[in-house]
Amino acid sequence: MKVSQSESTQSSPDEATTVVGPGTHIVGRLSGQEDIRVHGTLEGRIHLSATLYVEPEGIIAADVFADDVVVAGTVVGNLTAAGSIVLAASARVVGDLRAPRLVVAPGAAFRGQVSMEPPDEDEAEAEAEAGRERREGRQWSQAAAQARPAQARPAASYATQNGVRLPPQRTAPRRESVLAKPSLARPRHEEPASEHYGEAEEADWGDGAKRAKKVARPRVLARGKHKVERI
Amino acid sequence: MSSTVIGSSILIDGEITGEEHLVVRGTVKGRIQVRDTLVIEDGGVVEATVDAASITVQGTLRGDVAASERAELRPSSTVVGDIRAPRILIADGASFKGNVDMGG
Repeated sequence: MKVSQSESTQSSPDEATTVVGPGTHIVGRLSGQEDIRVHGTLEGRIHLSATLYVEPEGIIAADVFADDVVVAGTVVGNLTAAGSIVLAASARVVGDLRAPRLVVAPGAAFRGQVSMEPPDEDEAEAEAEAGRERREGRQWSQAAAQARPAQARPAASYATQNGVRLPPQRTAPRRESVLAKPSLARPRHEEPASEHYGEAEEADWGDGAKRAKKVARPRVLARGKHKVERI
Repeated sequence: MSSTVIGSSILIDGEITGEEHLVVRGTVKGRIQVRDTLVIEDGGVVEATVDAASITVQGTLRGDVAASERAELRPSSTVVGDIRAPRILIADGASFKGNVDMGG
């Protein structure tokens, strides 16, 4: 214990800072109350009530909430600071910046929006609400999905109106195509051939209907009649 | 000296991978994979699957450990989980619960 305590006290000067080395890659959620110097890669989400230093070789792909942010490296993500954001000359930032104080050095590359309204408790609540909305978003989306069909029905009825216009056009060509094949055959078999096709089809239709009627009638009536006749 | 230090007030929930010395004084949950030495200092808490060349525990470690060289449990350490390493040092006073695999 004494050894470990002495070692921890020896390392106490450095203990105030967390260092992410150049060969280290951290993915996930990170939170804390002490300064972080990033020489490596940080990915995910960072909540820090201290200063985040992104060193020249450091890469951050995360949404950052910190007291202060000093960027000399690369950041992809939104930076929110309660104090200040400093973009040094070597900084490369893509994302939105929100801080009451912002310093951009000449040479820094930045693309995104800037808001200098201080992050208040209201915004923390807004973030919490945003988180709730994300959770409830599914429910809202489901509700919207349920609501949209009712709104979409008129559109669907328009589509059906268009569809009503179209099906005759679609069915008509089919009939024409059926007749067109015989019409193509007309030169060979002449006009009677097409009439035979038409008559044959009508006869088939008629026979089918008659057969259906014949089948239907005997099943219902014949049994009674047969029984009556047999009796 | 290039190394990574996770300070005492830092909480990381996720994955740490690296090729350099890693010192944990805070809390890390998830997975740690380093090709150098991992030191969990007094007060440090690691709840993770650990894969490292060498591991030294002075704090608390919960999770399975695989070390390609050696694993050392210092007197102040508390370890719950399986340890797999060719050389394992457990100091007097260390608390350990789990299986040990030294590669037979």
